[in-house]
Amino acid sequence: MAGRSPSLPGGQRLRRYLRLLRIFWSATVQAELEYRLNFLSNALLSLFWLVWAALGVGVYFRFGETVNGWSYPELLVVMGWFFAVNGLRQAVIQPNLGRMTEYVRMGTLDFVLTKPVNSQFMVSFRHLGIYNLLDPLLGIGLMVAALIWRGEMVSVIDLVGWVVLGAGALSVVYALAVAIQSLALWAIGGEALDDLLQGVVEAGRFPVQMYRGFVRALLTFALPVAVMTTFPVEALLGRTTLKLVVVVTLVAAAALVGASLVWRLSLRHYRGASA
Amino acid sequence: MTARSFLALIKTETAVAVEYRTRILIWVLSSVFPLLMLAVWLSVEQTSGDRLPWSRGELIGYYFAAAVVSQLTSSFLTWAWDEDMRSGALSFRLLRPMHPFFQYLAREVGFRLVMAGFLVPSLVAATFAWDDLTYSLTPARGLLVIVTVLCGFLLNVLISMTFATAAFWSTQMANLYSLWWGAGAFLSGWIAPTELLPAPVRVASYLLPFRSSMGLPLDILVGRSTAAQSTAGLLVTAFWFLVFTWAFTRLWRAGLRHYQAVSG
Repeated sequence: MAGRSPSLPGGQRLRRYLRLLRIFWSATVQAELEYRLNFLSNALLSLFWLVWAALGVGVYFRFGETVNGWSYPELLVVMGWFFAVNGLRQAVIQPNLGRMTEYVRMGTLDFVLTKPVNSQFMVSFRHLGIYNLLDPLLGIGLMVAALIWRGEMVSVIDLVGWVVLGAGALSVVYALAVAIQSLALWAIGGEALDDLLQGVVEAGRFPVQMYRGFVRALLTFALPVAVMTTFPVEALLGRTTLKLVVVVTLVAAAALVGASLVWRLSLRHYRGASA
Repeated sequence: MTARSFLALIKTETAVAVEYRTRILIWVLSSVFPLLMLAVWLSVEQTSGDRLPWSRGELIGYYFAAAVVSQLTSSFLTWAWDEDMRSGALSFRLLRPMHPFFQYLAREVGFRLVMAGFLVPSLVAATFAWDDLTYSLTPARGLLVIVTVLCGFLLNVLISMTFATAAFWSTQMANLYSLWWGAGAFLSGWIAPTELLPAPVRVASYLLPFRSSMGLPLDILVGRSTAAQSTAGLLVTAFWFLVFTWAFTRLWRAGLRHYQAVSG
């Protein structure tokens, strides 16, 4: 069912999906703008959490210039990037992931599947959480401020490395979310899984060098925490290698393809709301 | 059922879901965060050596117990209250021949007892399983830990109920409470043991109510609190308990009048 969209030339198809995305999200934004006070107070709350995190890590540097090779400004760059990624997760992934159990339970999924649009696209991009939309901007603001404080120029190559690794990071988070969403089709409670994803992402608040031994290995290789925050920031600080960029790009591509396969496989297993 | 009332229902449900976001965030932070903090503090300890006054063992003991104590003393009553107010269950609670404060307290006590029954034995088991995790407790200090945890819990319930009364007037109450919680995380011994904070922040932490439910019992547990300091801590807790009792009863009475005016 997943591949039953009308065959259009590639460019036209992309434009069609972008248009759909615009329709979906502007509908959500319009509905949410009914609650302007909520939006404002949540935006202030986001700013508060950012300042909270930035000041909080300052305590570590009372006892030394660096912690496991990271200075205060460098750690703030990580914090900013974490805030941006986590904000995107809350804005784009969480509202859709949170609805998946309901889709299956209420039979809404059957309805989604009959639409002439790719089903993975529908279940992962239909909704948008506007309260965290400012988080990526705030996070990037903190990154810029921290980089200026650090006082070393960021070269164009570093910037390119960050963009590539950053795209890889977002792809991996998205792929993970789709994989978790697929699990809902095998009848597992979706809410608990969202908590799980949140817990994993939360560990990305600090660079993996802060952890040690088994935990560091786990966060680097098994869970995508290093890919999510540490690697992109290392690129920005001029500490990455071409090899790592290639590896992460391949991993991200594999994750996207894998997630799509898992989704299709789960759909084949799915028998409709009545079954 | 008209379409209009159905839409109104959808709006309410959405608002409820939104209010719960922070609750989940706090829940995740409270279960994962102490261990992340521990990891980072152990790195700090390794890099800075003598400049850090706390030893590796003390940090491990502190943050493992923090994971337990934070679960025992935190209170979700602000959200429970909010839910009841939206659903109308609050009106039923008001009809019962018992002050709603005690009804909510009972609910929280029940929940925390279940938590304690699971978490405390886990912590004890962990001390046997891992040599680095030990507590050198005397019976007197052990008793003091239990007393401070209980007092911290009661104070937290009272504070969250005081914030809950704000829901009589504002829909932003849950966000207000998370600001309070966030400020408290700095001063309670959550980000760092209070002794390691910069001097002005440390003084604020000793005087404000946040440390009572977190840093105070933990400092006593790992043996970083003298008898005089512990007594002072308990006095601060008692002082804030009186302040919030006063505030709660005042707000409660005023809010109830307001509530009746709205619903009736």
